[in-house]
This record gives sequence, C-alpha cells and structure tokens, in this order.
Amino acid sequence: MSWLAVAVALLFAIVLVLSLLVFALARQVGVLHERISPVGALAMNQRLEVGDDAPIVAATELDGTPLMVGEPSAASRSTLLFFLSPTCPVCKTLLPVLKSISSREAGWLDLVLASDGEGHEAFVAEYGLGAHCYVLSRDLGLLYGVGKLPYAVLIDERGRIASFGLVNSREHLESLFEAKERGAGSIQDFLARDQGSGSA
Amino acid sequence: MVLHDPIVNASAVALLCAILIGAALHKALDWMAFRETLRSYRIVPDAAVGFMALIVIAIEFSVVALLVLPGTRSLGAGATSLLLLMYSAAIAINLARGRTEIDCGCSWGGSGHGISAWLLLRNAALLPFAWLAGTLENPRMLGLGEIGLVAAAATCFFVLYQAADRLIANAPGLRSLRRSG
Repeated sequence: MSWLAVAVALLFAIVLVLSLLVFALARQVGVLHERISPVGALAMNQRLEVGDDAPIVAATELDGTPLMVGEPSAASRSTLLFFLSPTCPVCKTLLPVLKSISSREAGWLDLVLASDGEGHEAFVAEYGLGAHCYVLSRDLGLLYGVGKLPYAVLIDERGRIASFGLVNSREHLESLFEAKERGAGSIQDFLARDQGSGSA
Repeated sequence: MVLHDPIVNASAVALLCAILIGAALHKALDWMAFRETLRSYRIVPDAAVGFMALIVIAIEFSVVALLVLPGTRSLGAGATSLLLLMYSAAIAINLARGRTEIDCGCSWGGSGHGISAWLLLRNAALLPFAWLAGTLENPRMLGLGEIGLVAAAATCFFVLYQAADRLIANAPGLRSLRRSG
C-alpha cells in the first residue's frame, strides 16, 4: 500500500471518530436540556392548592350520565382528571399512555377525561376512548384553573387535591403519582423541600 | 469530472439510502406519532391523514429501491430531490403560518421539537447529494478498497447529518434556557 492510501485510511478513521464525538456531544447537550427542564409536571395553577378539597362540579358524560367530579369516593378510589381537547396534538400522543396507566392502576384509580366544546363523538370513536369516563363541562376547567392543555389533576380518595400540573409526557404523568405518594404537590415542591432539609 | 466518479456516486447513494431508510423506519415504527405529526402540519385534510401517512412511508421505501437499482438511479435521485423539496415546502408553509411549535417529526425518539428554518437548510444541504447520486460517468465495478472508501465516506456524512439534526433539535431548549436565565 502506498503512503497515500495509508494517509487516506488514517484520515478517514480520524474523521469518523471526530464525527462520532460531535454526535455524542450533541446528544449529551440534548440530554442535559431535558434534565434541566422541569422533570415533573409543571405545577402552575392560580386556583388549586395541594391538600385542599377538590371543587365538586356536576358534569355530564358523553352519553348523558351525570357525574359529580371531585366528590370523595365511597370506594376510597382516587381520580385522575385529565383535561384534553380533540384539537390538541400533545393530548393525542398521551392517550396510549393514559390507557396503559388506567389499566395498570385500575385497583385504586379512576380516569376521567374532561373537555368542552364540540366534535367529541368522532374523537372518542377514533381513539377508542369509549371505555373511559369522558365528561364535557366548561365549568370544570374554569374551577380547576386549567389554562393550558394537556392538564392533569390527581384527586385522592378523600376528595382532596393530591397533585396537578401541565403534562407533556409519560414522565410528567408518573410524577403526579410520585408526588401523591410522597405527599408533595409536585416534584418541584418535593425537590425544594429536599434541598431545604439537606442544607439545614 | 472527479465528482461523477462511481466512488462519489455510490457514497451519495449510500448516504441518501441510510437517511431515507432511517426516516421511513422511524415513521413506520412510531406510526401513531407520525399520523399526529402529519395532521399537525395541516397540509392534508384530516380524513386523508391516515392514508397519506401510509403513502409517505411507501414513497420513502420506494425511493430507496429506485436509488439502489443502477437502472433507476437517476430517477431515484430526482425523486429524492422532489421529496426533500416537498418536505421543505410543508415546513416553510407552517413557518409562514407562524406554527413553529408543531413537532417536526424528523428525528428519532419523538423528541417533539418544533420546526425552524434550520430544517430547510438541512434539507437544502442534502440536495447536492441527490444531484451526485443522479450523475454518473464511466461506471465500473468497485474494488474492495473502493467499497471501503464508499462505506467510510457515507458513514461519516451520515453521522455528521445526525449530529446536525441533534443540534437543531437542541436549539429550542437552548433558546428557552437563555430566555429564563
């Protein structure tokens, strides 16, 4: 092999390694961005406080059945109130996650999907939500202080607000359960408390 | 011309095939997310989204087949350019509408990053490769060393493409950090 061929082979090897390094660095930057951004559901709400009694709202399901949202459950079950809209793309990407959570946690959790406006029958049919409780109420969103979608509120078995927040991913949804288990309103709360006790 | 050497041609073909296969697999594997992405672009009517999503994936795989077969390579190169221009047009239309928050649907793992003018630049950077894939003078069988060269060149470009894609995906995160910081 001539020295030229050796040089080309060597340079290619170097360029390839450098390219891989650049790619790895770019990925790491991306992971860091994800870590820095709120790890849990972003808890922003003007009306709700963790530990408060959940506002009780009379709503109707799609088929006309009345439902009292926020009432303490007789069977000591918690409720995950998920606010969504047929026109919100992120909500749709969370639907499979919601379905899996609702079947996994069926022992203690009821899932209530909440929305308002029109065009829900086709939406429910298309995404196979017929088996879930789907209520329409304008007051529900107002009373629970929902500003942005998709939004979720976890109400515990005694009818109190356990956690809430803007949810964009499975992790955000899981963080609501985590927050309930640890008795903190949100992961941000929990971290702040943890840091507080750590530095004391 | 050295640009039309079979080594360059084969490298460009290998690069485009890798990118197209990656794109098509990504769409096919995360089918639900791709449908939502397509819907959020608001280019096709809602009723046709499912059908169009299938067509897009089928087109991407077919273009790979056209590129790989020597007889249809220039056709495949033309189709690749057309596909890139169509994607760019869809992105440009939504940029013009000011809908930068929609998922670009262009990277692995459903990162959900928005669309930006960088994506247009990225697609434009691939057009010369499509041109190289479509032009070939004095075809010949490649030797073992030359095949190694093609593989090395295509791998380098592919990894750099992925790195650029990653950096474009990171950009919104960086912007929001700058804003909040």
